[in-house]
Amino acid sequence: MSNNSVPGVLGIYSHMDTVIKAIHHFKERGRDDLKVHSPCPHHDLDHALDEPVSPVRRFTLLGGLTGCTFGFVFTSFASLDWILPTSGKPIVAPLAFTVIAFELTILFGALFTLFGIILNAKLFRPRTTLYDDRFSDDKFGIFIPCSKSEYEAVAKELAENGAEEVKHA
Amino acid sequence: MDVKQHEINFSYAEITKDILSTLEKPRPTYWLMMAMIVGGLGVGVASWMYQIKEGMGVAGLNHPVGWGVYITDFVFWVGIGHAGTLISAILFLFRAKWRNAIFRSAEAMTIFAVLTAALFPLIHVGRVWVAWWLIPYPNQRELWVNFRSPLLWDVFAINTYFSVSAIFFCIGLIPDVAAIRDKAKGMRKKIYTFMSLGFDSSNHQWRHYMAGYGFFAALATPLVLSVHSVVSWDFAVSIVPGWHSTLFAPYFVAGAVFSGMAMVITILIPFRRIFNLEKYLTIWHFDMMARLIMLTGTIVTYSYLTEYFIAWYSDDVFEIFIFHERVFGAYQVPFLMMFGCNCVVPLILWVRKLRTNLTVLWIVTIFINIGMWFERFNIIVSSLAQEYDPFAWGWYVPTWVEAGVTLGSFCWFFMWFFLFIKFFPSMALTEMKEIADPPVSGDATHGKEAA
Repeated sequence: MSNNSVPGVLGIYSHMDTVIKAIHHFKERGRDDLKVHSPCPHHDLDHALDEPVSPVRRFTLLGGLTGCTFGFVFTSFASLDWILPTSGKPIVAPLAFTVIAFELTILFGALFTLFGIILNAKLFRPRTTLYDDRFSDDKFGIFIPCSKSEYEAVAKELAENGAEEVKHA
Repeated sequence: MDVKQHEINFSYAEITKDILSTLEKPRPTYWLMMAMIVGGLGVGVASWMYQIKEGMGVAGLNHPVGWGVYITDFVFWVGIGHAGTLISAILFLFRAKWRNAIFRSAEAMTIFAVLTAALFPLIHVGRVWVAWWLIPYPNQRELWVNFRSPLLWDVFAINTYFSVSAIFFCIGLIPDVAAIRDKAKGMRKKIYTFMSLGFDSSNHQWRHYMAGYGFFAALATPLVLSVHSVVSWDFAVSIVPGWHSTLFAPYFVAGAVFSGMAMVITILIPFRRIFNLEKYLTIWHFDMMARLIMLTGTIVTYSYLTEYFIAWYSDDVFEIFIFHERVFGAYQVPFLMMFGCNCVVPLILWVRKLRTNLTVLWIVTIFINIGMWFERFNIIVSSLAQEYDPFAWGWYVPTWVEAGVTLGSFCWFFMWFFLFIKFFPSMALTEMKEIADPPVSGDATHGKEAA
């Protein structure tokens, strides 16, 4: 699932503090297109990258609202479509339907959140940048997209900023 | 005595190596256990097939006790399925670090327990080939189900719980599957590459992943509380003596967490030993879980006593009679099993020295599992057997068919768990790394040594 179609240089690091320093360095140089790999998420990396809040929350909200509305509308419609009197209870019983609306709020909220993650994190898509198998183990990485003519300069800059290995496509 | 956080602080590489070692080729003991499990499952399937062929009469269910072992099993397994999401969602929101080493196994247990529970309404309805009539969908008969029935609320609650727990579980597995992919070779690499969904541990993916994970936890938290509440309303909304109580929802939820935590411990103590994971699953983790059992066990005991108080205080003769019969009547044995295993035996855990002794803790949790099964049996059967009209009373004794299906359900549950531990990391690699100190320059051996 990778084709390395995006040209660029990948620096590999062993230490978190070195990566963070390198991120600060490149961001000060005006580079906002860094792709940083780490074995696990870490707040210090988040602070260094200073990225906007993920829009996944909007998917969750939309899903929850959709599920809640669907829960009430569907149960009311179905109860009116097939009248089933039981023990003198109202045919459309909002209190009873709240349980189903609640469950559907959660279900749709979760499904929409899943969809939000897949869409925003670009899952199910082939990897287009350089990657190293050690990123899921104990190494960190910074990928800097650049043209082939810039490879040498960027590689040098990565090495000067603590990269232990440098690779390019 | 306490094993604190810094003592499970290992290097990233060590965590990967140790946890992925659980996926290595199984030993003969594994195959032996698996053969026994499949054998037990065969007994369960054969019993069910016999029931389908002969009809529900072979299950011992008859007027007035229409709900017996199958519904007992259903409620029991739903309860077992509560600890996983409690640990993975609620403790995640509370940032309880001791959850990180245990939540993956507990979550897997949840999925398999709900998968097991979901079989029982199908087994119980008898004509399983028309069980899909429970699902509301437009059909040529122009019929709709009764949305005011708690039984239908349960269809929604269980299906939602299973779906959300499964999504939460699978999402949590993605980074770990990517780690397996990066270590695997040949066909395994291809399979895990497909299952990792293109995850590359980049900041872009972590950002959305962590945001989504937090929302899953936030959604799963009320769901955990609602599912067993809805199950309890299957009983409480009716006017059967011993069932018709507003206490049922919190009482069932506490009981579910109580039994679920007990099952987690029952499974994790041998698991830790078999896979040599003592350094990750420490006495500290078991102490924390035992404390949750103490808390929920106390709530359960309080609920039992409150039930009796309410029966006496209500001055309702039917209510008083049912609770009297539970203690002194024909179903006294299930009551004593329930009270002894859930209220008396767990008192041992109040002694710190005993609850940090894993042999003692393991035995106590087995008693709790047994006690919680009998709690459900006690609630369900004793109330139905002696409702209002003495002319309509009747006794229910489970048959070998129900015993076979129950045995099969345990084997079905353990079969999935045994398969899981050989295909996926039973401890979360990523989250174990999250609580470890990250490697920093000038520190050649980050982790425990550095701490």
